[in-house]
Amino acid sequence: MKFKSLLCSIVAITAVFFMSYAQAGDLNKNIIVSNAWVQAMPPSQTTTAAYMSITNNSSQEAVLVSASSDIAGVTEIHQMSQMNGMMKMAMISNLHILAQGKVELSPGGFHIMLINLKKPVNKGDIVPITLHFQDGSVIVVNAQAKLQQEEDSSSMAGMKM
Amino acid sequence: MDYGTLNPQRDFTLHDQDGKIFHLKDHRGEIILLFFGYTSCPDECPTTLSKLARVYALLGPMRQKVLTLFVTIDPQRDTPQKLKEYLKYFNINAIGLTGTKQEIDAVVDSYKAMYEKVVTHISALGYDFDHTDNLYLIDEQGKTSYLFHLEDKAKDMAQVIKGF
Repeated sequence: MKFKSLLCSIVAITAVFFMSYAQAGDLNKNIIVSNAWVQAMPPSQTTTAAYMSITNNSSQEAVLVSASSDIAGVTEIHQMSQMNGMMKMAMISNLHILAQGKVELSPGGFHIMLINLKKPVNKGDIVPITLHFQDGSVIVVNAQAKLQQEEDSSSMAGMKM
Repeated sequence: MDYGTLNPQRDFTLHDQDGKIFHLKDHRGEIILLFFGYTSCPDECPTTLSKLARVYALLGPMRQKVLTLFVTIDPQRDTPQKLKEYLKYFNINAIGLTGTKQEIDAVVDSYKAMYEKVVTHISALGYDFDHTDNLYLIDEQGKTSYLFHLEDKAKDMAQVIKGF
């Protein structure tokens, strides 16, 4: 009996240990980044935008606080919005993705801005972008440089072929 | 809606990417797609130009008579050479137009467009522009006849243009 209760205690403590370990910084496993692409630009341009879908499958809110890329001197998160009929752009310091939620970074909305490019972004290039989250999670995304996004891509996502 | 009230004179004068003088009235018989932007624009300008590349592909042989005019609202940074290189990249029949701020503002006003230079102290960009995103279709007689917006899809735009 004594041994059995000791064993139960050990199992219980171990289980609690693993549960709490799994909750801290486990966003890496629960954040899915898809359809990451970068706007290909002529060589004279030193700024471009990266877009992607970020899905948060965890039970906690995820907060993107910054991004970085070797290809850019400075990387920022920006939001486009309409005001007085004009498109406005503003730098934001964090982007919230709700638990079990999804955020689209797409033209006219959010984007990751790559500023002071160190080399041109040509169609077909793969640009690694590192996403930094508030809880310490870090995810590296390989964004493909394109001239344009396929118009039907959003309707194709999730379709079983 | 009658868009003919936008630039009813059906003319304006600016300078093109080769430094030559440009008069809208010299382009009768062509369908013009005009919009205001700047080459450092990271989002809606390249998006519009990429979409136009698809529109031109959908137009087929008609594409020869469709001319895109990109009027810069950032003449300070957008030199004629920069405009030329930028537009060439998107592979469409386009001319970049520039001028003094006064000349450009006159054209912006005639099409009832708007822009505002925004100096930012937090972003490394330094400054950027808020601007209206309309794409104006000017018919073969120089009359402003249709307005496209950012959300319009390439195939729908090609359909509209084919009707002119």
